[in-house]
Amino acid sequence: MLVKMKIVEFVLLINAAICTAAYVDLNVTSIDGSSLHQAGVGQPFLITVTIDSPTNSEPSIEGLERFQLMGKSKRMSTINGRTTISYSYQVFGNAVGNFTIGPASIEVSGSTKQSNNRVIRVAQQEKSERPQQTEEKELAKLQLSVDKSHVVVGEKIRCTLQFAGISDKVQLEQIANPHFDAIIDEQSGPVTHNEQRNGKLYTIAEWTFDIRPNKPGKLVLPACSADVAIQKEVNDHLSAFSIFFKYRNELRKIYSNAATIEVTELPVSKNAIQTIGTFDYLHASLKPAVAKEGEGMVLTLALKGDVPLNAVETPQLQNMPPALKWYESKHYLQEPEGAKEHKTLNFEYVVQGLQQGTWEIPAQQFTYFDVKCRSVKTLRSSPITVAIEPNGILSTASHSSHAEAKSNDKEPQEELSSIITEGNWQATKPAIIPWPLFFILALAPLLWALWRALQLYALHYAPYFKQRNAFNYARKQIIKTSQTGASDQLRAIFFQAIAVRLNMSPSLLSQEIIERKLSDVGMDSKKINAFDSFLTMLHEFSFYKRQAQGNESLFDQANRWLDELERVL
Amino acid sequence: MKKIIVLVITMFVLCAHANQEEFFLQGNKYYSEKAFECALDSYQKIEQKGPAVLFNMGNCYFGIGDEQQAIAHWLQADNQGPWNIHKKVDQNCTIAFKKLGKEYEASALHSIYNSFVRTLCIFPLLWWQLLFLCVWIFSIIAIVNATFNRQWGLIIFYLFFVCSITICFVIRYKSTSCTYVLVIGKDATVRTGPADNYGIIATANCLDTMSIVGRHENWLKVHNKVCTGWICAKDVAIIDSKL
Repeated sequence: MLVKMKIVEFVLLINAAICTAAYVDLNVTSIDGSSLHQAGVGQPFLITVTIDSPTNSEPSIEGLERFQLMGKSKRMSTINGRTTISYSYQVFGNAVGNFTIGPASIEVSGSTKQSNNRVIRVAQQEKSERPQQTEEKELAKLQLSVDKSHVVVGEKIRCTLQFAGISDKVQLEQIANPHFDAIIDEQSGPVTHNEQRNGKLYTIAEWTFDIRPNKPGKLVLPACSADVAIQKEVNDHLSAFSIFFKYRNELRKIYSNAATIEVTELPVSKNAIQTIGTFDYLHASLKPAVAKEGEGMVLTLALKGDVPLNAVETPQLQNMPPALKWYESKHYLQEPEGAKEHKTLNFEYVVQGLQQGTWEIPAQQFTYFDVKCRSVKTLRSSPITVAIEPNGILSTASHSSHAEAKSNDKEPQEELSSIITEGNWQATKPAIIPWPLFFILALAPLLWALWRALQLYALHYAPYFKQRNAFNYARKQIIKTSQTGASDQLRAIFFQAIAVRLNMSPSLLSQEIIERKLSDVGMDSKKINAFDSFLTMLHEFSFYKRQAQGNESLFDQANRWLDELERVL
Repeated sequence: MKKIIVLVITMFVLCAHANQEEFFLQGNKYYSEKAFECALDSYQKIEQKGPAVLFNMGNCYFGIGDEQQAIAHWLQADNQGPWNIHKKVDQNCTIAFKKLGKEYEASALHSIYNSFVRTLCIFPLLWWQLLFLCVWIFSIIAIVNATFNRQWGLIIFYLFFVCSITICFVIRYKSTSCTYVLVIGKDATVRTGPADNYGIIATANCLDTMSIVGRHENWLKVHNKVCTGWICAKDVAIIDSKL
C-alpha cells in the first residue's frame, strides 16, 4: 500500500513539474501559416515565438536584426486554464544567405527560458513552400515594378503596384499597405481599366508611389500582398442546392514580387547639393525694381523642374549687398501651362533697401544632382539691378534701370530662334576645286593670251629680226657647208644674207647692185674690187663645180667678208 | 582577309557615325525638355561639330544664362554654316547682345556689307570657283580677240565684268576662311607678351572682336584697331570656319 502511495505521489510530482515548466517555441512560417525554409529577398514571412506561460516580458530573438521588421503582434489565449502567449514578427530578408533565427530568450517567473532555433535560407528568387497552382496564377497576379534600379540618396523612384485579375472570376477584396523603408512623397491610385491578355479579359488596378530613399545601401521593397476572392465551381453533384449554388468564392492571399534598388551616396561637390531632380532654369525677378529707402520689394526665384515641392528647401540668397536687407516670404508651386511642361517652384523674398543708390542683386546659384545626366549641375539666375531712391520723387534716371529690370523679367526663351533638328550636325569639308588646280586652270588662259601676243609681236617685227640676224644666220650656214665641203653654196649664202640685210628679194640682187650699195655706204673702192673678185670666185665655184684648193682658206675668206659686210651694211 | 578588314573598318565608321548622330538627337531631346546642361553634355560629345550642333549649343548656353558663350557658338555656326542659318544667328545674337546691353550690328554700312556677303554665301564656294573660272577664261579670250580687232569699248566691259566677279569671289572666299577671336572674358587684358607678368596695353571689352596674328601656347597675339598684343586664350573664343 505504501509503495502504491509513493508511486502515485511520484506521478503527481512529475505531472506538476511538467505543468509548471514554461515551454518556449520558435517557428518560422509563411504569411498564410505554412512552414517555411526558404524565402526570396523581400518576401515577407512570420517568426512566431510561443510561450505557454503568462509573462509580461517580450522575447529577444537572436538574428532578428538581420531582417527587416515590417510589424509585430502579440496574441494571448487561455484554454483549460492554461495561458499561451504568441509573439509574431513579420519580417523579410534583404540579403541572400542562410540565416539562423533564434534562440528566443524570455524571462518567465524570474528565470530565462530559451527556445529552439530555425535556419532559413534567403534566396534571390522567391520559392513558395506551397506553390501556387498555375491556374491560380493566371487568374490573379500582383506585380511590383520600379522605374530605376540604381539611384542616389534622395532621388525619386516611381513604384507601381499592379493587380491583374480575370474580370469574371476574381475579385480584389483587400490590398495591404506596402511597407517601403523610404520617404513616400506621393501616392495615387488605384487607376483601373480592362485589358485583354492571352484572349482573356483582365481587370487591372494600379497604384503608384513616389518614394525617395533616405540612406545609402540596398533598398528592398518587400512583396506586397492582396486578398482576392476566386470563384470556384462546386462539384458536389449530389447536393440538391447545387443547381442554385453552382459557384462559391474562395478567399486567397496573393503576393507580388519584391524589388531591390541600389542606393548610392550623392557625389562630392564643391557647392552644397540642394536637391535632386531635373531642372530647366532658375529665373530671378524683382518687383518693383525701383523703390524708396525702407520700402519692400518682392524678389522671386522661379525654379522650373520636375521635383516635388517638399523636396526643395527655400534657398538662401547669396552674396547680397549689405545695403539690401532680405527675408523669406513664402513659396508656392505654379502649375505648368502645357501638359508636358514641368512645374515651377516660386520662392518669394522681401527685399528692403536700406541705403540709396544702385545696387546689384548678384546671380543666384542653385546646385542639384541631375538625375538625367547623373551629375551635379548648377543653375544660375541673371543678376538684377535695383535702384534705391531717397524718400522723395523718383528721378528719371531710375526709369532706365526699371526698364532694365523689366527686360530681365521677360522670358528670353520665347524669342530665341528654335534649334536645328536636322542636317549639318557634323562638320563636313566643303567640296572645292583644289587650290593648285584652280590656279593652274586660271593661269592657262593667261598663258594662251601671252602666246597669242607673242605671235602678234613676231608677226609685226619678224623682218627686222631677220634683217638684223642675216649675217649670223649666214655664218651658221657657212659652218655647215664647211663641214660638208659644199663650197658651191657659198655664193647663194652671201646673196641671201645681203638681200635680207638690204631688204630686197635675192632674185633682184646682182653683183652690180651690191657694188653700188657698198659704194653708197662708203666702202673703200679697193675693198669693193676685192669683194667683187671674191664673189666672182664664188660664182665659179657654184657654176663650174671647181674643186676648191685649200677650202679652208675659202671659208676663212667668206667669214672675214661676212664680218666686213656686217660692219658696213 | 583584306575584304574582312575593309568590312570591319566600314562597320566601325558607320557605327561611330550613328553614335555621333545619337548624341545630336539626344541633345535635341534634352533641349526640348529644357534640360540645357544635359543637352550641352550630349552636344559636346560630338567630335566634329557641324553648324547645327554649334547653333544648338549656343541656344543651350543662352538657356543657362551664359550669353557670351552663346554668342561665340552662334557666330561659329554662322561662320561654318549654310546661308539659311544666318537669319537664325542674327535673330539670336540680337537678343543676346540686347540682354548684355550692346548693339549687335554697329552701323548701317556694316549691315549692308553683311547682307551682301550673306547673299554671296547662298552659293557654295565650289560654285564660285567654277563661275570665276568660266568668266575668267571667257573674258580673256574675248579681250584678246577684241584687242586684235581694236574694240576698246568691249575690252573695258570685259575687264569690268571679270573684276566684279573676282571681287565677289574673293569676298566669298574671305567669308569662309576668316579667323578671329571674340572676347568672352569679363576682365580680359591685352598684354605686351604671352604671360601674366607682362605689362597691360589695354583692357578688352566683352564681345570685342580681334584678328589673330600669332599664337604661343595658351596665348594669342591679337590685333584690333586700337592695339596689337597678347591675350589669354581662355578669355576669348576663336571663331574659325576651318575648326
